[in-house]
Amino acid sequence: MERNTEKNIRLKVQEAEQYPVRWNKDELWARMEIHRTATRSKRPVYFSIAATLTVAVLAGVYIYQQTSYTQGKAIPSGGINSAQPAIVNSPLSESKDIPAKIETVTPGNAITQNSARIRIEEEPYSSAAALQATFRDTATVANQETTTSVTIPESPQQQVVTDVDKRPKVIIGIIPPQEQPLVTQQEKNKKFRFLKGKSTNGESEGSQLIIARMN
Amino acid sequence: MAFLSIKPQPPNRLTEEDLVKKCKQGNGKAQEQLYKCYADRLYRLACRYIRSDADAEDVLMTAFTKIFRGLDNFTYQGAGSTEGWMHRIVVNESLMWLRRRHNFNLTESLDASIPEPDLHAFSEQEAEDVYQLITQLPTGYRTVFNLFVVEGYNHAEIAAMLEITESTSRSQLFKAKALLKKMLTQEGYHYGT
Repeated sequence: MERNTEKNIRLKVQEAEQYPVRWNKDELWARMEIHRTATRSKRPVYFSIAATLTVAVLAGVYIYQQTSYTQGKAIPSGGINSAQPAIVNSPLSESKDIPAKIETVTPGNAITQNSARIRIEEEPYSSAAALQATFRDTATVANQETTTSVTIPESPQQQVVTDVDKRPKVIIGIIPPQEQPLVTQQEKNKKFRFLKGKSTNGESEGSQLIIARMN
Repeated sequence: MAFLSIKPQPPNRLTEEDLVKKCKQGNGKAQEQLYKCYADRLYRLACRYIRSDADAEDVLMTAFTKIFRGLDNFTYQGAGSTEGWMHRIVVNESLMWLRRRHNFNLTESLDASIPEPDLHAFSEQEAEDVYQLITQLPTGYRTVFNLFVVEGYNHAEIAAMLEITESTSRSQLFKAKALLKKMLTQEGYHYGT
């Protein structure tokens, strides 16, 4: 009985829903068309924006890589260093290129034993030299009035730390020996005396600490 | 909502299966034809769940958007399968709309000893009267009544669809029937006599 009642109601409702009704049928279709057209027309815009962003990102990455490569490779070893020779941390065989204003004070071994003497020589930076350096490497030196270069010895191997800013420059260079043989305390004492002024051949055996300061 | 005195339009020249095929191919004319063929019935279906005409139109628009998008996944299984599939989409869309705006849990529990109202006299009414009386029920009653009596779901399914308990669903149905009986009496149908 209950089932039949519910079935009758269901059929009545379905019958009622078959009746035509006046409502905004065409307007609703027009709204749907506008919505669908707008959705379709947005797709090319999204694609073009995505493509533009992709190209821009790829171009940026490419330019960044090229710039990094140029900065790492294209600066000649003699570029800045030729304008300011004190930066050069030359091996021992090239120590004769060091300007006269840089003074060799003590060998490398002596530094580690806290017996080195460091002499700092201050000289005003020559305007003529600065002008010459500007002509040599305008791009690098033009915006820098002073340069500070520091070399910190930690091992017999060469290590160069370069700091460039606008403060008065201090240039410190260490020229380690090519190879450091193991020496006894007695030999070290001999070398110390040798470096104190008993050398006759003009060549040092240990590292050279070079400190120069320029305005 | 004004009703016309004309009879339902005859079926279109294209068969239901051909219409679905063309719609799947993205044929705009076929989609418009599909819309015009079923929109009236689906609109009345939406109005049975949602009282406001404007809201029912919004729900129908969303439903048709889903219908056209989901046609690729629809498999034609004989006459009437397309309408049944669209019918379910409209019902689900209406329930989603109602769930966002109505709390179906706000119903006090019922005394189980009270006998359920008999709707025999109600089922004997004219189809349009039955439809109109259902649409006048409160939202909670109307939704459960539609799902249970008209769509044929059981209380467990209704509870899952509306995120309520089965006892709440039973309570809503009981009250819907009681209110329909009362409405018939007030309308002069002398329900239950």
